[in-house]
Amino acid sequence: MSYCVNCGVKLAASEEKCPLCNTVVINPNITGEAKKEAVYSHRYEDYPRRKINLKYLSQIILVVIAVGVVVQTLCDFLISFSLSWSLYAIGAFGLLVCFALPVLTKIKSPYIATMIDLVALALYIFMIAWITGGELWYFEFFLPLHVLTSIYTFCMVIFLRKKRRNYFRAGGISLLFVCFLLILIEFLLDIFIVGKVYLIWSLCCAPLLLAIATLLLIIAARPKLREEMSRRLYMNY
Amino acid sequence: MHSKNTKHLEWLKPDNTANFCTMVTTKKFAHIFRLSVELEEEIDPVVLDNALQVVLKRIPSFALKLRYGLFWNYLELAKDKPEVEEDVRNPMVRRSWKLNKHFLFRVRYFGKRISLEVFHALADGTGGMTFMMTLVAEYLHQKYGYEIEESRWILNPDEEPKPEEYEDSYSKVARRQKFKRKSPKAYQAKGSKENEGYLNIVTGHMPVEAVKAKSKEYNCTVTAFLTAVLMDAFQDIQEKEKKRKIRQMPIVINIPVDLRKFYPSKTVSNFFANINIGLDRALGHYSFSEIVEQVKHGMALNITEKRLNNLIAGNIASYQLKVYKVIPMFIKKPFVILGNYMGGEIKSTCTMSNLGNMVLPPKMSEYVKGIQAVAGKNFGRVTSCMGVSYLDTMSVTFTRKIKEAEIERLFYTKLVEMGIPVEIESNQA
Repeated sequence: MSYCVNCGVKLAASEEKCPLCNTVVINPNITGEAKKEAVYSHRYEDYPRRKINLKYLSQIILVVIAVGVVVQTLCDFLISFSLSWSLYAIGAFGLLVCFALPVLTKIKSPYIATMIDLVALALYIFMIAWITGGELWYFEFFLPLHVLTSIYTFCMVIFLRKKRRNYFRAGGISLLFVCFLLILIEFLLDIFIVGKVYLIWSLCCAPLLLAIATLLLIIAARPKLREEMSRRLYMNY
Repeated sequence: MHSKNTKHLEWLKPDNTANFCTMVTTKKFAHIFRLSVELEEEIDPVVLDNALQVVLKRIPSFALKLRYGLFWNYLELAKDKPEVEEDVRNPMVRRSWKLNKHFLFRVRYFGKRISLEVFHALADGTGGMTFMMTLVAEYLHQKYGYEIEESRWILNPDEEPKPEEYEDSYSKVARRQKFKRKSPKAYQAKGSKENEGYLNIVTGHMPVEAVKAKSKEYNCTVTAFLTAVLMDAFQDIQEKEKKRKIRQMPIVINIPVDLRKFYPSKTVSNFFANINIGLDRALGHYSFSEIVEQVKHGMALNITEKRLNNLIAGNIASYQLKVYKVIPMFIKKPFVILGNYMGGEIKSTCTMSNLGNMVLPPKMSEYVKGIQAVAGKNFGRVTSCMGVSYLDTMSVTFTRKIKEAEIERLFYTKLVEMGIPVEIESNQA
């Protein structure tokens, strides 16, 4: 029988360390054979986690939406004898199906799934632009932004697939991207509407975003600083 | 499977506590407690399973399953047979009742131990212990031919179940009266959250005589003494808090009181009331003898028939509001959970439940080596404490959902410093 040198309590022979202070029991007089059998079983009960059948759920949601789309398409056709506003809903439904494809089919690669989603989104917006006669804003404004956002999305997918994720680095890069995106939006808007570039509001936001992004990237590059921060900002729940 | 006397049990309106327990139950949380009995020899699961089927016929209120009504939950007699299962290192995990054939209790075995885990909607500590001891007596009868002797904790398995054993004693004894409940937010210890699906269980075994002698020295009961030690441990932890506001929060210990001592009830279901004993920390530091005085007088003031009846009346009245009755369950459930947290959980620091001294028939005592009681997880509070004494040993068990064992460490070391030897066992790997 051993005592905890720290707490002064007697420890059951099954205890390898004091459960109160984690002090390891060292008693040369007690050999492995003399140890009492365990008080608790070695078996662990699985903690139940609720599993949702995503495929089934997606199918139900899509069927319900599909019914709505069919009804509104019929209404549109019966009222105007052509398809006008219902095309938007049909397109949106197609987009939704593309988003749900990884769940509904056997597509496992996140890169292919992301590619499908981005292409589908570009096509849907193109459809809207084509119906409204806005091919100009599509090619001059939307498409450059979409290409940039797609590159960023792929970077994020690569980041999320990494085993060791540095969230500070990801945050820093994301802020840099937002900063660049804001400038690009204002640049494209100016060219598209006025014809000349007058960068104002995007440059007001840029220094703040750049400062925070730099701070995050510095933290990302310094593990000691990160450790110190996590210690200082430790929160009891 | 069930006898004719269980016709009333085909479906049952839950009593006050059962109603509350079923309403605050979520996918991650349920009020479950555990009772363990250690025998002299290894447990035979086949005999245990047979004994369970016999005892379940005698105490059919344990064969109830939870059903969800539109306005209220209710209990219905289960037709299946429950099965005993091997014990685990992480007991009292909340899992779907479906995995348990909808039974609201589990009987487990490991080595020389039989354990019973009960959902509080079925029974309180006394009811659970009656079921457990009747099960052990029947097991010993089947295994060793032990002649079962009826006692306070043991029912005769050959008898028919009696309706008074599963009656709702609360509504029988509660008087209509005004009640007032206003108490400040109590101090609550904090720590790093333990992994979901695991509860830290630490049991301290100590000689009953030493605890009794110490209680006598302070001229108080064993429960009051242990509560005072627990309060002292919390006081030490609270004094290390950085914020003055937190340091001055009252330390409130929640003590369940068995109402069978006040009313002639034979129910095996729930029949208890919770009293809160507080220490006003805004007034400064308390010495141990001052804490004992506070607890002793607080208990004397609160554990009276009138006060306890007022508590029951208050609990029942809150469920009898007409508006409340007609609101569908799915709407009122979140409010009950919130109300329980705001009105109950945050107003006490910890629970100290003492089942008292277990006296078994002498022949049965030859087979039974030890008894333990383990309180379940609370919704808000990080730790609970439950004690029981049997023969010459008192076992006080802490259940904790945080990683740090500071509360137990202080509690047991204080006892050691007072000259009470403590032997510790735990479920830690």
